[in-house]
Amino acid sequence: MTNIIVALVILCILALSIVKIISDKRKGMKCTGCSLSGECSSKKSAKKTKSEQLKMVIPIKELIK
Amino acid sequence: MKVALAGNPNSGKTTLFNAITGKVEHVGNWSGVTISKKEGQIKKNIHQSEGEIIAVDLPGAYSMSPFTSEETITRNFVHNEKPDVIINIVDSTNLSRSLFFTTQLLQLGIPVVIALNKNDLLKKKKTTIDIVQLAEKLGCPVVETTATKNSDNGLDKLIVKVLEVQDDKQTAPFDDQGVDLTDVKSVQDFDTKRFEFVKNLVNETETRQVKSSAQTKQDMADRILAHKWLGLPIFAVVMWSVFSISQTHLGPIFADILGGWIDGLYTLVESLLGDSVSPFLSALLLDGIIGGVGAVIGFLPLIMVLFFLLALLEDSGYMARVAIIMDRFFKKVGLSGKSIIPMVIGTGCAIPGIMATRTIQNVRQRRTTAMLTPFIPCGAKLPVIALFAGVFFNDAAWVGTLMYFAGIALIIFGALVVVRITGEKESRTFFILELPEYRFPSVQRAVVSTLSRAKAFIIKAGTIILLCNAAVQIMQTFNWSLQVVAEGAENTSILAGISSPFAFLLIPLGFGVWQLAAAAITGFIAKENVVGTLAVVYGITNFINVDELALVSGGSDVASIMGLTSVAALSYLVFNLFTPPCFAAIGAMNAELENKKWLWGGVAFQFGIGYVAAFVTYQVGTLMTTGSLGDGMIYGLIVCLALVAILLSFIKKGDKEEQRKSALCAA
Repeated sequence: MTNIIVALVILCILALSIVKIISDKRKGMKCTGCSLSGECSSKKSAKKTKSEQLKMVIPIKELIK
Repeated sequence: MKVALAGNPNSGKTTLFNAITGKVEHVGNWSGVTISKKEGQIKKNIHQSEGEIIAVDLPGAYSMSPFTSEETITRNFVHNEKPDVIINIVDSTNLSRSLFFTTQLLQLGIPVVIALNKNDLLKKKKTTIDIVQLAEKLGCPVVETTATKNSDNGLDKLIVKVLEVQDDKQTAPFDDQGVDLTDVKSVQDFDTKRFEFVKNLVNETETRQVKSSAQTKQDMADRILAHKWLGLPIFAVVMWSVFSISQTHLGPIFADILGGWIDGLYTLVESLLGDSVSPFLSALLLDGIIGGVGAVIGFLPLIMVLFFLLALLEDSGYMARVAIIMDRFFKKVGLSGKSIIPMVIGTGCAIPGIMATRTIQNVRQRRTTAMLTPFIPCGAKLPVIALFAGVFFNDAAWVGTLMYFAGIALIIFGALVVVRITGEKESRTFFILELPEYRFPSVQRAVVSTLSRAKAFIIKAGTIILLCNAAVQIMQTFNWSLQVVAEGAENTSILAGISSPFAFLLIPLGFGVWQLAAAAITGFIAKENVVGTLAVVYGITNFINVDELALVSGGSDVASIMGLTSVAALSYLVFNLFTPPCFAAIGAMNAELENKKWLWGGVAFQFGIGYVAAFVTYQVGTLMTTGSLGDGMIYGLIVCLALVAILLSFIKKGDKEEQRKSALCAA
């Protein structure tokens, strides 16, 4: 009986850890716990940045229009 | 309602954003800290509006014509997403520079409210700005703010103004009608006119008592701290002091208290379990979960003190000077001082450090910096440093300092190699950094930043580290036939079976045992795992408590628990710090490098560097301390020579490419 209780406690601890990791992943966090990880770039956004870097000068006139 | 926070770099946008939203985004007293937009709801106690107001913190920009990728984010947001109001944060101590961007924002037609920030510094400088006249000339409200202050900071007034102007149509005081965008001369002429307009506006509204050309105490401090020759030794002393305080003096005091609590928990659970529980379950709970996680958490006070001190340094404005000091060295190897910014950010975590390389325009420099940033020991590596410094080197602060400077040296070496391989050794770049003013660092901001990092550390220890330690404990308990391994036959366990082939490769480095190999492998999931796994495989709950280590070893020689000499321990530390970072950081490298060749080349380079550096450390160290060479010298040397030969062949190829380019240019 004691063994079952201890096994359940261990399973609970491990399950809580897994649930936390999965819920963080669903929220888009790369690293569980990290306050900055929500801001981490995806590959897609980084690629967009590269193409945009080619446009070194954007005519302000166009922006105003 | 959406409000965009836009302004020049280091004007205090993120500080203001944190103050009005209650968030704890990373701030630094230098430009380029924010590289992506962040959103947060403005606190209800600041405004009386019924609806919610979303503030969007944008990266700093000098102009609406973007030069860097983060300026592009700012330009795209204000242009494409059409915020309801723009709060233009203006550094009031640098009015003339800031208003160029302001005049461009005003042309967009979106209502603008100017937050004349850093008002406290302005008063210290005895400079006055006629805000009534400034508001009149610009055609938008101007509010004095001091975002760093908790009260009487002008932020509630700012939000009131935002709500007042939200439906207004913005007019522009400067118009560039008639500019021919296809003609560079015409654009330059209009830019000059805009500068003239700003200059006249500043002359009319600002009264300075201290001329900007006058030499101040700040300039005197810079002449010493950013000195050509003195700058680097001063930086070394600063870093040594940081390590000394965090790992030898203040840190261990708190660590002892926390260690006592962890030991107390271990003893309590042990007594609750008694003898009736299965040894496997008991070991899994006590050694795998409480012991493994406890060993990592035990280092939290040391890390918190270190992060606190680094946050103070960053807030003081000193780190921007470090970038200037390092530029001299980095320039010679094809990098620039701008590369130091990601590296400083990387001291907390390599991932945001790698992401911060986006601020570097030159593609090769950006990729090289992203590839080399993980050489700077991040927060996750600090428990490993603290463990080995504490156990093998009597808490010596020089170990941590040495690892930081070894990281910098490897970055310089790595950059030199990359610039040769890419055939761009003749390329030169310029580094311009706006130096922030020195200021007395805010203890409150440093505490908030430290607590945020500590929270992340605890959550990581309670999730990833806990699961890894449990897995290690299970793999150590069972053999491949899924039977519990007998005492003294741990070599037959699953963990030993997986780690032993790697351990064989590590013999020339001085730590060819499966336990240490297993710890190094789990370190690729998260570097803190090195400590956790060592705790599990050696059955130690608290590394901080040296008495316990002595007890476990059954003698006074602490090092004998791991079967390592001090030299081998240093080699193990070097290997863990300078081989590739965790998988998440490699993922960030993949995103920023945008090139598989660079990614795998970078990872292979990190492995090679880590292996060779550990080999040299162990063999040279052993020769110096014992007079003879270490184990596995011959085959380790063969591996290292093979790695060097591969590198040289790439360099040769790069040299040829450069010669070809030069010939093409000459032709």
